[in-house]
Amino acid sequence: MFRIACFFLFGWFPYVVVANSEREIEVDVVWHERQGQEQRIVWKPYRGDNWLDSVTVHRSKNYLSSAAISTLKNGLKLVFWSEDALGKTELWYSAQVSLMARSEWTEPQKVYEACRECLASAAVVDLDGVLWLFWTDNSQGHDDVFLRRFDSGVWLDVEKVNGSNDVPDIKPVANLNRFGQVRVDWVAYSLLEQRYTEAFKLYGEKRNDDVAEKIVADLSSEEIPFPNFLPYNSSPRIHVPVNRFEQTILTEQ
Amino acid sequence: MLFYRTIKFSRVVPQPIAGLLATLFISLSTIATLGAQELPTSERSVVVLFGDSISVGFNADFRDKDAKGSTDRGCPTLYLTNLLLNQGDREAIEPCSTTLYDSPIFDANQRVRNAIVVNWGEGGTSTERGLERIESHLNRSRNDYEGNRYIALIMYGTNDRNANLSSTTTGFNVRDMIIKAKQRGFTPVVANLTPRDDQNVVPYNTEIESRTKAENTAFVNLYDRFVNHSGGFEELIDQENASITNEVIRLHPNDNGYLIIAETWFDEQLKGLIPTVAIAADNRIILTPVMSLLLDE
Repeated sequence: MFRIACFFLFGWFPYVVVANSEREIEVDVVWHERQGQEQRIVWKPYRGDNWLDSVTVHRSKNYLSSAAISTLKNGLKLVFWSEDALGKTELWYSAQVSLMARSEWTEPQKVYEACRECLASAAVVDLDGVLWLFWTDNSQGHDDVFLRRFDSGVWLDVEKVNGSNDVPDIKPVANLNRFGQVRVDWVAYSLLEQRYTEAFKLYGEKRNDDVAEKIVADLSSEEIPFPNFLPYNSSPRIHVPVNRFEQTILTEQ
Repeated sequence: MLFYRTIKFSRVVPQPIAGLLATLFISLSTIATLGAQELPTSERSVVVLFGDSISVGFNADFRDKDAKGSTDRGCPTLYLTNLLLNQGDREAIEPCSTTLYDSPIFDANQRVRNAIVVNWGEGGTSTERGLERIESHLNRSRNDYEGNRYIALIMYGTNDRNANLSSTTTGFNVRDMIIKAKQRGFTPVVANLTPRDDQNVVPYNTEIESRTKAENTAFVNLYDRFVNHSGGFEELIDQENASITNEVIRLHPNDNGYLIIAETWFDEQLKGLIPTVAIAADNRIILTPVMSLLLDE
């Protein structure tokens, strides 16, 4: 099974993606960076044994952050990010147009209209090919975790993940567990313990073990060192398309 | 039992009123000779700097990432120490510019305060991490340094956006730091964030200020001090290489910027919170912990 280690942004990045499979290894990294007055969302794919050229998915004069990427069952990528504009931080996405033209992306579209400060997007595609996008927003006071599913090209209604409370719920991370359920983990402040604690929620029924074992068996180990191409403060995310059990892991400094 | 720490008072100017108060309060005061130049630690103010790399003093000339409770490294620690102890000719252990001695606030500060500055800055951290560690580091400061007054200077949040924390979560975390500091007997003082040219910190500062004031806690507006600087904040925050792609940002203050921060902490809050030590005409040190507030600059 793939293991992805978080890496930090000061200096060299010694952390590795571990894989071992007859399939071509695929890894995607997305991040935000600034070039002069321009902000960019950048995607860099790793295929086989090589890092391919970086691709600028989106550029803007607004401040960009919280980049995330996921892969639909047909292999096409969706990239998500937060963008500051008019006193809000809104959540946007762009979809890859075709597998043959890696650098072509759709015009950016909003995921959610009611954002105040939408941040920390995290995505996973389940065994049925439905994309689950989680993020945080403070439009109702404190940060809450929200969910919107993308099923067969249609965005479903926005759902609130955490219950009503008067504390921040932050930093969602989305995965499939070994039973094929979507699991979102986040950090929530506990008034009882007076500190941040871990929280999670499971979606879906357990699948039979054969399905889980089949997917787990896709992957094993080999090391891929990360070259030093990531800018400072870029908050990158790693995505491993063929491993649906750990699609994205947030990294931060 | 009293503990003493040797310091110099090269810039102290005796004042007639100090001598008068010395006479009035002589029976209540601890007296030492200037020859010994010692102040009792039992009557000392312990000032803790608590924040991220900007509390540490990180910049092109000083690359410490974490202060680890230092009392003698980094410009924020040294400048503030010099202002409180009025040590005009103190030689810095780490290189900091000497502009302190030409600054208006230093020149106007004619008094000594019995204080030690302890730096618990931790580079690259968000307020979430600050909340996690504030209790242990304030407790440790209390255990390590005897004193009769404990002050926490909190400046946190410039890394929060990169850590995917919204401005409201930053405000929530700062409020909780205030509460935890008070629970441990510290007087918290909170500053907002200095400007940076790659992110808009204004929403974060709005939350920090409103949360701080809602807790009836002292607030220091460093952001305004920087953006209203006569030469612009760019004079106080140099560009630094931020990536191998030659991206440059303005984030960490230069030495002059750290001087402005120390002066602002001192001028807006510390000089009113920490009693002065009056120096009698015969060079005796008279600690006047209450009345000294009336003598403030």
